[in-house]
Amino acid sequence: MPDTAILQVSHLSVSFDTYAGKVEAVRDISFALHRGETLALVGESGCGKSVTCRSIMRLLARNANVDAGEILFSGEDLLKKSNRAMRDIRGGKIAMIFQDPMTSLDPTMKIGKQIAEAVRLHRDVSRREANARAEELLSLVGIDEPTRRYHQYPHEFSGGQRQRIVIAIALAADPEILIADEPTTALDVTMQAQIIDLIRDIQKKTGTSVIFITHDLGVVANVADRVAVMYAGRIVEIGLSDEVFYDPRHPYTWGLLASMPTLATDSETLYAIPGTPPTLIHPAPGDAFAPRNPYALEADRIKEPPLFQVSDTHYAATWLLDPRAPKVYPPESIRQRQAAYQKRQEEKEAREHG
Amino acid sequence: MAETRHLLEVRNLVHEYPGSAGKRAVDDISFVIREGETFGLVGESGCGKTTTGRMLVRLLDITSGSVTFDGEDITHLKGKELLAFRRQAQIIFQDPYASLDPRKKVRDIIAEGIDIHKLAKDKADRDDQVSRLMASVGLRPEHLTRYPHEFSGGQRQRIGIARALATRPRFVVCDEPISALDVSIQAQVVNLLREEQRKRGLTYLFIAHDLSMVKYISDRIAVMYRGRIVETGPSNLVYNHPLHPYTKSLISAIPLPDPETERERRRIPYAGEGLEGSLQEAESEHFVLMK
Repeated sequence: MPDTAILQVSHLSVSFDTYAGKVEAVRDISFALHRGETLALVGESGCGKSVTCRSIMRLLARNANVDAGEILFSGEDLLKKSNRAMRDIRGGKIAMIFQDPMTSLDPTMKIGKQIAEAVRLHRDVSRREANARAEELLSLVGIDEPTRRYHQYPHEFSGGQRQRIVIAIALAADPEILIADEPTTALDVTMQAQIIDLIRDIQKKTGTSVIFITHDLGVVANVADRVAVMYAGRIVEIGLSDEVFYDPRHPYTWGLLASMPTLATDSETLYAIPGTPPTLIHPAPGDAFAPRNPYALEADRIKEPPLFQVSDTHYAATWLLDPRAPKVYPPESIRQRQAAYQKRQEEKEAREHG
Repeated sequence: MAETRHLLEVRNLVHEYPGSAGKRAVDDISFVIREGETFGLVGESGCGKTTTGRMLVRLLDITSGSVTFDGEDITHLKGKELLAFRRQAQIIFQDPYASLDPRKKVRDIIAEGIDIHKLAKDKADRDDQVSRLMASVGLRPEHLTRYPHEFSGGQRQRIGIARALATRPRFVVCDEPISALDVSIQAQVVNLLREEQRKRGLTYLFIAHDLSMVKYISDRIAVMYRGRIVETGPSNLVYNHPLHPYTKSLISAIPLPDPETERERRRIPYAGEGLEGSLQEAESEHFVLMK
């Protein structure tokens, strides 16, 4: 589907200079974001998901270097844009919301004014029009009585409402892409569910494309059309939501899914991925997950596996997909997922043909 | 777990934070925790679950109500008696970064309880106890002389667990012990907690907002809302057959790693109803707040 891509990240590598050495945070990743879709970037802290998005926004820290790659947005490489041009794109065409709604709002400014400010920054409108637009945005994100609440300060809102306000600011200039960096992590389950519904709702209304960063696979299953699983600076698996959740191929994805208890889990011990994520200073050759991977092959320790194609939309970086690899059996709960999915697919086919 | 003894009995527990003008963070809650079980406490932030946990180990004062531990009233213990109780009741905190003294070596962090309660005969015995604890939680001997900043979040939580186990407690409050950890580390820590529970016959109060994990680990749970318990019972019953409108809403919002269920998910909104009355037994062992 290359013609529908609104954003194309190709061979992006980003590193950080630190006292301990050069940290290779993002290592040669490529993906496309299609128009109107939600792509989830999933992984644990330090896997490079936030760095990837900050590279798109050009919001990297000073000690960061983009070592290679390009980020094409409407045919132009964002990495080559001037700072001035980036200022228009940032918050205008591409907007971002962050994890902690308290630190992304100004505590001393009325929230209506904060939204109106974002409107006027990207649109040539009068103060009065900006204020009207701010109220409109407040009701779009589900804040009741926008005319009254316009004049309130962030501390007068609950955590969930603050995140709604942050979303309103992000939507101020009708962005084409919305990047949401763990937007629900600081919230309770019920709030979390409401914010996710809101993002989906807005997407339906405005047709915005969304990149959703999270470590929570439960949240991903709810929002994502496609999922990219990241580990140690690389995309290890990418595919349609159904493919990644029901027919995962990378042992890391297996581990993540198997280690989450569902409401039906009642086994004595939970499947746990052994060990800890590697540091990315001089990463070892081969697959970075190999030391924690009970399914690792000899090849994984020597040579980095490429992304093998599983279907038109599904890719995974593991030598297990090489035709020469021995056949392995994923953990029990993953096999159950695969079997249940296969059954559903067959039923669906039968219904369509009969 | 048929008829086991009650290790803790909590009656009409209330906590008012100083200066809160009579607003109750915990508002008249009662429950029991049985010896050897894991009792889960769930609810949104600010519902009083952490306050409850801290009162049970006497880190916070009990405004009114009572707590008995193994038959003994610990509500107003002081001095030596309080110290003796604290040896038996420990706590593991949420934030493994904030709860370890950065200027102390791991060995001394873990041994703090051993020193305070004079549980070691001599230095060799102290070192021996610490080494066993380290091994038991999956840390290596060379970690003994290191400082907290040299560890990852998961390893720090292991240090926190070893510290709590050092006094050979019978009861441990686990206050969101995994929420600050990475997904791939959470399962390791949960397995470790369960293993130690089996080995040592521990009783846990497990506080968390990850409802799937609480269900997995708990024998019985209580759901809190605005300082009150709205529902309590065996976790299977509460999850599969929730009775209180708040519990129904909460369970309908749990995100699951399953796109098919998520597509058909229907969230049940909660508008603050059903907060009057008292806990009444709706079916065997399953209590719900109602008039």
